[in-house]
Amino acid sequence: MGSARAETGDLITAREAGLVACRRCGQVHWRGTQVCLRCDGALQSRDEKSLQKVWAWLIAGIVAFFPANIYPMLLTNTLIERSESTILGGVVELMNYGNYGIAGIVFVASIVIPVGKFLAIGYLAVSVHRKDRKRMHQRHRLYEVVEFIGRWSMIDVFVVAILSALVQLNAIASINPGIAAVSFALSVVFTMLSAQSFDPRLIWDADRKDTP
Amino acid sequence: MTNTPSPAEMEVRPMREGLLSRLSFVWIVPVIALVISLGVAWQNFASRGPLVEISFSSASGITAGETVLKYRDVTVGRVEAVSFDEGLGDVLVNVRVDKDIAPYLDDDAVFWVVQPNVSLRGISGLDTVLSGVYIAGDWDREADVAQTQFIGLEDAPALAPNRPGMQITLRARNAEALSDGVPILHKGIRVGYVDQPELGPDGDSVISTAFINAPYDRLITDETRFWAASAFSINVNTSGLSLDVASLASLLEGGIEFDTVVSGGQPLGDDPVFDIFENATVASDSLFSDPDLPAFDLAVMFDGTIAGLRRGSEVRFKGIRVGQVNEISAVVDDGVGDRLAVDLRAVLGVEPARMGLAEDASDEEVRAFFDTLVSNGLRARLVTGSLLSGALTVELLQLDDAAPVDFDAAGDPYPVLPTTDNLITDVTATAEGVLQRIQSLPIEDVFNSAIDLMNAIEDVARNEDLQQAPGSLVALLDEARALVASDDVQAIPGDVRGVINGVGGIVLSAEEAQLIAKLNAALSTANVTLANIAQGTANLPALTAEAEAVLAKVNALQLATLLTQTENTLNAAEVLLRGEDMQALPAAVNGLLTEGQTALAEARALIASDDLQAIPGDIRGVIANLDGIVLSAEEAQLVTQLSDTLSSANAAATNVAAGTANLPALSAEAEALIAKLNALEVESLLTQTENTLNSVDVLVRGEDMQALPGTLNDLLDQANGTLGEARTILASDDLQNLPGQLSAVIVDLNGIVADIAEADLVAQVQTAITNANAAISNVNDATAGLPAIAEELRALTQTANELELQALVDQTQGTLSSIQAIMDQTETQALPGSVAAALDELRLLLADVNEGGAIANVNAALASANQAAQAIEAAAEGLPGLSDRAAILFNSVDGVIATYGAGQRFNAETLATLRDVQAAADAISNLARTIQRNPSSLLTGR
Repeated sequence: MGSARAETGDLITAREAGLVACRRCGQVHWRGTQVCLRCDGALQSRDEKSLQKVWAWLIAGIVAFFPANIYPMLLTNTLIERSESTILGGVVELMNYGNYGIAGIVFVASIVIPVGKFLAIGYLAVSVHRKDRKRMHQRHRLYEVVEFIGRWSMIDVFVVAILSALVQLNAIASINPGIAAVSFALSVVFTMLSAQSFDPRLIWDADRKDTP
Repeated sequence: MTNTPSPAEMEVRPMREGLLSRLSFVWIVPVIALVISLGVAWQNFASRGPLVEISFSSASGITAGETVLKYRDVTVGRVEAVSFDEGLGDVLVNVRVDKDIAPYLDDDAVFWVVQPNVSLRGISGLDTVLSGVYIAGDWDREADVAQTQFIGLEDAPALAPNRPGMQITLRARNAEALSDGVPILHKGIRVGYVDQPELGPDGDSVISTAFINAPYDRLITDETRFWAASAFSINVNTSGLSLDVASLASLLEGGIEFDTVVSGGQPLGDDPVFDIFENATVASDSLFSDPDLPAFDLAVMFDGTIAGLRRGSEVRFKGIRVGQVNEISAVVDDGVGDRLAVDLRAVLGVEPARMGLAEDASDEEVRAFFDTLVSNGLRARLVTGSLLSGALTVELLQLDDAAPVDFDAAGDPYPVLPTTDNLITDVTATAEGVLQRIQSLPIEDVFNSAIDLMNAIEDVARNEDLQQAPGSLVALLDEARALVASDDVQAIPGDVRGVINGVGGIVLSAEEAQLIAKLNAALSTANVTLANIAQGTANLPALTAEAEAVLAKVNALQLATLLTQTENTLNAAEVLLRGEDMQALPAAVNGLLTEGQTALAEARALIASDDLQAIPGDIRGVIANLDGIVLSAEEAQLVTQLSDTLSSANAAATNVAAGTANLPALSAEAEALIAKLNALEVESLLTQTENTLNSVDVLVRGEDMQALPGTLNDLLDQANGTLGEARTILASDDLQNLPGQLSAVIVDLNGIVADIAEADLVAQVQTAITNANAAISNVNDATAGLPAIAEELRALTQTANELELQALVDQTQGTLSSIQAIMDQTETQALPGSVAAALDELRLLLADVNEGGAIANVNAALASANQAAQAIEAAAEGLPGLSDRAAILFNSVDGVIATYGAGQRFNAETLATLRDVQAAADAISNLARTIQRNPSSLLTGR
């Protein structure tokens, strides 16, 4: 059993107290209310399918991540050459040019974080499935971090978008996004949705006995 | 109720929903993503074409993953890998070809790397400068057996393998006409192009394949002739300078033209070979004759210099080119005694077919042919080909009178053709000769003579006398004009006419009156009279006094001028006497003059005689006697005799006066006659004059008349001599002393005169004198002027016969006074002055001319003419040198022109350079156009 002691009645979850909060606006309602009185959102105490959504979005994100690395991210046309570069290729090129900082940023933002997100969300989902009772705080914090950082993976896409928008000097230099940009964006979106679908209360539910 | 049994609690579990209801819709997203990804991946993989391997000698810019394969500018593949062959042989390029293109890559597929290429056909592949090279391939549209391994070409193939048309082989002597990419033109249209030329199999020609595009390949037949389109050609020969310039396009890139002039050509066989001729003329000539005729070599030994003959010089026979000089060399000839001689030998390559033989004649036939020709007089000689450059050509001609020479058919190494005299016109030598002749002209002498002449003329012009002469001449002319204009002189013609008429009348009357005889008699009596002069010394003092007065007047009258005037008068009289009118005098006048001449001679003799010489002494004696006579005359009543004499003289003088009184009337009649004559028509006057003259002429024809001028001249000479003698006498001392004695005599005479005056003789004498004067004045009035003197003289002699001595003396006195009167005439005296005035005026005129600077201008003109002459002389000295330099210049010009002729290296290189320049210009223009219209195409391609 976890550290929570239900029989003392010191800590009561809202669910046990028969309350439900709107996930959007936080308004507390009595259980049984269908619609939030404040934001008209659907009231649901626990979403049983949330884990499915998490997994679905996660898988989609993973699937979309592969073309993002295979296909070129940037199509660069200068006066004398046209080149396509993938994310990793771009990182390597940047490192070859000596821009270690930017290379590091791109690597972190475009490789480390998405992969890390995949792993994190996967771990969270698995841990919820297994009703793991240990390190709940850490897992909750992990969830918070994942959700917070997720959006920052779009940096790479922003870079591509800004470059494409700015460097359109017809003959001299023009940068166009490749397929990988779209794919990467999708991957990031999917992971964000996945993280958003994850209900962190499920982490704490493992500490409870069968709760309806 | 705490322990009531309650029903068992029902385990209420929420309904387990079905799987589908438990699954959320979200799972669609990953499914779709998965499906899309996998589908795309599979599609990429499935649509990949095969991998084709092309081997190149060098990668030349091929980059794996980037270089594309293009077919007709469409990307159909991409290079995936670049690697080396085993042993680092070739570069293997693996190209992923599109699937639908792959089946067409069969045997005839060619690949090459497209790089920027500047060639005659223009700039190609410029976009590869920006985008990198690419591999281009060409194959036909039929899918044969597909291959996967190919050998790439080094350069783009010139002949597009799949375009419709014909491929032919062109052959030329050298590659100057056959460069890579030279267009083939037909009537100016580009119909094809030429590939890279290569050396022919025999090393003697250049062969190149050419491609002719589709509709025009039908024009090629067996009889088609190809020739090199000439850029420009300059031809300088005896017929002049000709310059042919082609269009600018062909000027820059050249071209090969073809044309099929004759019909009936056979269709071509496989791989036809065509020769390329030099120009259209040669090409069309070859239609009628095979250019590859066999040439037969002949040797010709020339004497003298053959400068101007070179390899390739033409050999002509009757004006047709039959061959060319192949070789010129010197041959040592050791057959002339001990000395080695060097002969010049030219080897001619003659085509016997052009001289009439059949084409396939054998060597023996050719030799026999030439043997026949040589025995008929065929000889070779050098003739001038070009006057300007001195180039020579060899001419074969048939001489009719050639010495028989054997044709050395077996000559070693070539048969020897005999020669004859050369026909070389050396223009430079002829020009030099002409210039030398000009130079040898004595121009300096001529100029010196001219200068001397001009100096002399200048001196003459500057002579003061000459400068004064015009002024004086003008004055003289004025005076002469005044003299001529004077009424007296104007009346002279009328008077002369009157004289003529009078003379005519005289002549007529002379014929009737036999005046001649009378004159003769008169002259004889005059002789007697003159003989009596010696006795009639009583009258001599008066005569001498008068003569003295006359002489004194004459002295005052400037004797020299008087004598000159007298001489002039006598000369004028002589002129008059020589005149035709005078010629009309009868022959008797000649006799008269002869008689006069003899009379004068006698007078001279008389004067010269001792008697006359002694006259002054005698005169002294006479004077002494005279005194006695005078004394005795007083006693002998000589006065009465004198009065009688004087009365008779008076009567005579009255007669003379009466006679001469008629003279004015006569002259008036003559004038009236003349007026009438003037009123008459001129022809009648002339006829009358002519009649008179004719009648006179009849008289004149006599020999005596012919001799008249001579006798007259002699008479005048004698008169001159007489005058001279008289002068001598006058100058004699006795005569000088005469005046003193005469004064004494005059004193006595004065006494006598005083006595006479008492007897009223003086009055009578005066009357006589007055009458005589009146007579003389009448005569003067009627016939004023010099002819009057002659008339008077004649009248004098005429009356001499009838009159007594006294009257004669009186008349003489009158004559002298009249002469004196004439002498006194102001005009006469003023004559020298007027002449001088005329000369003065002429001098003034000359002075004016001088002031006007005309002479100075003439001097200046002469000086400048002198300078010009000197300049011309200096220029003429430089003419031979100039002609030498001109000859040298012509030679060098000829050499220069020869280097620019066709077939020379300079020309070929220039054309090649021009072609390259044209290509570069084309490329630049293309670039400019592209930049103007579609700049992005520079980078992205068209």
